[in-house]
This record gives sequence, C-alpha cells and structure tokens, in this order.
Amino acid sequence: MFKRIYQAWCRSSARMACNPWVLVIGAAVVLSAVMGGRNKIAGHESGVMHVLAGLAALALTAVAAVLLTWAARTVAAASGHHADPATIPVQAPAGVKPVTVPAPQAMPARPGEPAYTLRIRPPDPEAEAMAAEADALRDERVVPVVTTGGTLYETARREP
Amino acid sequence: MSELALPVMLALLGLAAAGMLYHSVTEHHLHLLIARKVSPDTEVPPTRHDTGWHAMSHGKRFWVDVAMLAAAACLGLAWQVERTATTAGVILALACAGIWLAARRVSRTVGPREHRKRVPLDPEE
Repeated sequence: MFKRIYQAWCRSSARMACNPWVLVIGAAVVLSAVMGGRNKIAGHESGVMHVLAGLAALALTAVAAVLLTWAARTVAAASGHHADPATIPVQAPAGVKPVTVPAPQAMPARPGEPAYTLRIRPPDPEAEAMAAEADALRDERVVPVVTTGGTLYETARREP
Repeated sequence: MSELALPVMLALLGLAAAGMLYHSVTEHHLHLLIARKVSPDTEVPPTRHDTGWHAMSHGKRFWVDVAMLAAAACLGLAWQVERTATTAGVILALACAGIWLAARRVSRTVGPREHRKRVPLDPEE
C-alpha cells in the first residue's frame, strides 16, 4: 500500500518536473512576492476568495464528470456471461418455438493441451456461405483463409 | 442533517435516479415498454444478459457504485462551496456530453472512412 503511494508520488513529481505550468506558476508566485502582490490585493481579499471558491467548485464538478464518464463507459463496454442466458429458463408463449442457445459443454483435455469449453452456437448462414466459398477455392496449391471480418485470402500451400 | 450532508444526499439521490433511468432505458427498454402501452404494435427486444450492467461482475458493479458515490460527494461539496460555478460546470458537462453523443451517433451512421462510397461530383467522371 505505502509502496504504491510512494510510486504514485514519484510518478507525479516526475511528470510535474516536465510540466511547464509548474514553472509558470512558480515564476508568478516569485514575481508577486518580489513586486509586492500582497499589498496590491489588500483590498480584494473577498473577490480573490470568491474566484478561488469558484475554481474549486469547477474542479470538483470536473472530477465528478470524469468519474461518471468512467462509470458510464465501463457499464456500456461490459460484455460477458455473468448470467448465462443458457441457464435462464425462458417461458415461451404457446405455439412459439423458443430460440435457445445450447448449453456449453466441457471438453476433456488431450494430453499436453489445456482443457477448453465448447459453446455450440446456432448456425450462421453467412458464416456457412463463407466457408462454402472458401472450400470451393481449396485445391492442391491454394489454402483459403477466411478472417473473422469476412475477408478471403488465398495462400499458397507450403511444399513439404 | 448538516448543511454539507444535504447537498451530497440530494446529489446521490439524483445520480441514483439518473443511473436507474439509464439502465431501464438502455437494457430493459423502458421507453419501448411505455410506447407499447400506447401502440401495441411496438416491438420490445428481449432484455440481454450478456451486455451492460447484467454482464458485469459484482466487483465491477461495486467500483461503479463507488465512483457514483464519489461523484455525488464531489457535486454536493462543489454546491456547498460555490453554487453558480457548480451550476455552470454541470450545464457545461451536460452540453459536452450531448454534443459528444450526437457526434458519435452521426459518425456511426456514416460509417468508417474506407466504407464510404465515393460519389463523383461530375457525372461524366
């Protein structure tokens, strides 16, 4: 915990060393001290405090906006099977054939290979047409490769 | 209730209501369910369980809840510090979000650059 805090501190200080705004703010503070900035704002303390309060409120609002944006993007980008639809019973109305996804099957591992889970998907006509087109091109010299995006490549068969 | 806790609680309630509305519309199609009450022909797609909040683990849901809680605390504190700047900041953030969402929708409707058809200006070309 403390190691991570120390690493974050080192990281932020290293970034600040490369940030020109740190130099600009430091120069402004030194100049105001040299030129008697404290005397010049002597009659405007309340105004300065008001501006600082507004900046603080804007900064807090910005932090809230960043947090909410992160939350919304995290929810929108989530995908997976926290609740697998195959395990949820669906009550189909009478006379309607329900569209269900077959339950995943655990496949045994072959020696030397990791085990995996086979999820049988419903037949996809577009994928079947792509596979048929690829098979039509297959011969002694050409090995067709269909990418997931549907692009068809022909590669020469490697001579043994 | 202290003066500081009231804005934070109100911000928390507002964010919770906004989050519930977002979830109801995007994942449970609440707007289509309401529209079906008026027009029974309205098609309501089934609620998906593999995307969005339904697909998230409890750990991720916890951190999203923490982020919303922290955002509510920041908003409530900002309201307590300076109300005008907070109002301006919230309006600015909402405007930026609206512009960004509209631009993204237009961009997705138009499609990627390489998929756009080139329309010649000169028909003879």
